[in-house]
Amino acid sequence: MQLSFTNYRKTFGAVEVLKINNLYLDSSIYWVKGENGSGKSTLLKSIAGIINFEGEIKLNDFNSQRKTVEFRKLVNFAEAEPLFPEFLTGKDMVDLFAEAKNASSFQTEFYLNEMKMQTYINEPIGAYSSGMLKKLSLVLAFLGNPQLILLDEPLITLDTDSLQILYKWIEKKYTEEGVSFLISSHQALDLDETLARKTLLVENRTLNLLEC
Amino acid sequence: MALTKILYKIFVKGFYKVHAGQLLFLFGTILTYLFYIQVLSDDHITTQETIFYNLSFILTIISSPILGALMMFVFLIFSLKSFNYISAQIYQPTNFFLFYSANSLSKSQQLKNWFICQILISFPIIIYILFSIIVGLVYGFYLLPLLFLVFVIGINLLCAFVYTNLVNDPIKAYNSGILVKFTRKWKKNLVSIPLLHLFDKQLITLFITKFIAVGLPIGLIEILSDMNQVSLAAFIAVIMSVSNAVLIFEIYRFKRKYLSFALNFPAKISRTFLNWFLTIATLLLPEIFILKYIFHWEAFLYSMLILISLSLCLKSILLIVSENMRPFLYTIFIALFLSVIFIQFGVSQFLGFIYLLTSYIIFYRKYFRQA
Repeated sequence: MQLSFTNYRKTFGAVEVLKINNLYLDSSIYWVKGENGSGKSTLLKSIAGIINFEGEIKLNDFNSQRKTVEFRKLVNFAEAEPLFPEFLTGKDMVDLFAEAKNASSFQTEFYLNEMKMQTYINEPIGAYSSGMLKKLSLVLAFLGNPQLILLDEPLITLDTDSLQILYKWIEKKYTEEGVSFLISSHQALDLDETLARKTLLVENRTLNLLEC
Repeated sequence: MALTKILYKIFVKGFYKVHAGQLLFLFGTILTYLFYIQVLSDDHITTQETIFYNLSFILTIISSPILGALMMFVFLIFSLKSFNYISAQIYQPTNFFLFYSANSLSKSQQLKNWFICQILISFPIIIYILFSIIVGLVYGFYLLPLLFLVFVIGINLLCAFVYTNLVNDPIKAYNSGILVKFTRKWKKNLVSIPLLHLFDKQLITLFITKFIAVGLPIGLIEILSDMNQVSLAAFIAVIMSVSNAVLIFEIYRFKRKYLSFALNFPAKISRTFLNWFLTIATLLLPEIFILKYIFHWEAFLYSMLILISLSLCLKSILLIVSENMRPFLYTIFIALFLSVIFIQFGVSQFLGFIYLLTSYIIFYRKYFRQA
């Protein structure tokens, strides 16, 4: 995985919230640190292709705004506070994502079983608790064959069992399939010490790779 | 009074913000109609006669039981619409605080606050009724205007009573509409999800919009019967499309809020545009059937293309103006104005293609560059 930023700049109105002149990231698990409002979510949403920005973001030479299909096949995203239509069931969302991201039924079943979601997956999302909704958004982010998964505050609202399952998924995806991660969180990641991990600091309206 | 202020800010302002498009369109249409009548009648009707006819119009409403009943039906629809809006907004997570703050007041105080809130929403109706009471008192027809007042106050009191009860009951689990329950087993996609949202959360808006979009043009056909078929069909299609602007805006708002994840889907831009096209075409099916019923094939095909492509164009414009209602309304009036000019110059056959092309160009340039 090769993720690069060239003259990246994001503004809201006249206010510049994030600027990255040149940055190159290779395969790893990145912990994205930063204070509240520093621009972590903006960064992840920009990479996911959900919000507009100036400049270029490329993944393996695929420009996010020009090679839109190729880029989006390789990048998955889970929001910090996911919002899905209340009248849809969890199964509707899984089917929608599975089709869009080309995931097999075996893969979807595996993730749903691991997170113990089968008992309520056919219920409308409007009846879900925030923890159930979080688990659903995390399952959706692992579907398909991405090379980069962006997880915005994945540790909040999850119970301890689900948290351990999430760590297991991250480790497995990284070691077995070489999938990289950008994970924003206020607390340190409790991952296997032997895995290659790096820290990105969002501070002073820019992004810096910290030396480990 | 603190609660009244909060209810005013959340529900009254919110109601008028969300429905500004519909209200402006309605008043815009009425004003345009009045100006139009003025120009035609310049040489034929004196000022005194104009006042006389206007007074006759109001007197007919306040003296005829049938028209009076019709007015009360309009008041009822307006009240139902505001009820639908407020009862849905109460359950928005941002308003959950009402369930552990407002209900600490006594029931009578809560009822009073909700009643004031509902009356403020019904302000245009109240003004109309007060005006009709004055006219009624002068000319001796005060029974129906007073009945209007009692009717509206009664409905508003009933609404306030229901809101008070809602806030004092524990928050209920999500309960979907009948259509959504019926389609639970169906496979959903990005074409059908926005339409299901309209049925789930915007049912009254949907019905009122369809009523206007179908009813208004049918009325116009009588007035504009001397126009040629293709031009008339084109004009009707433009009116139908503009009437649907509020639903188009709601679909866009819903997609930005709940379906923004779709921007991360690896779908070709042409496929995504086709999805938009299918959503809009399905939304406009009642209007398409009406056009087919009224016009011959050639006029129908041109008008259908105008109907869909202008609606698509309005949806694409939202990619530029986002959720800002004001520039969107300006765009609607500009589109209406340009369409009328094209139709007047007899080139309505090209109108659909022009809007379709404009829509695709905006979509292609802006879809992956949304703010």
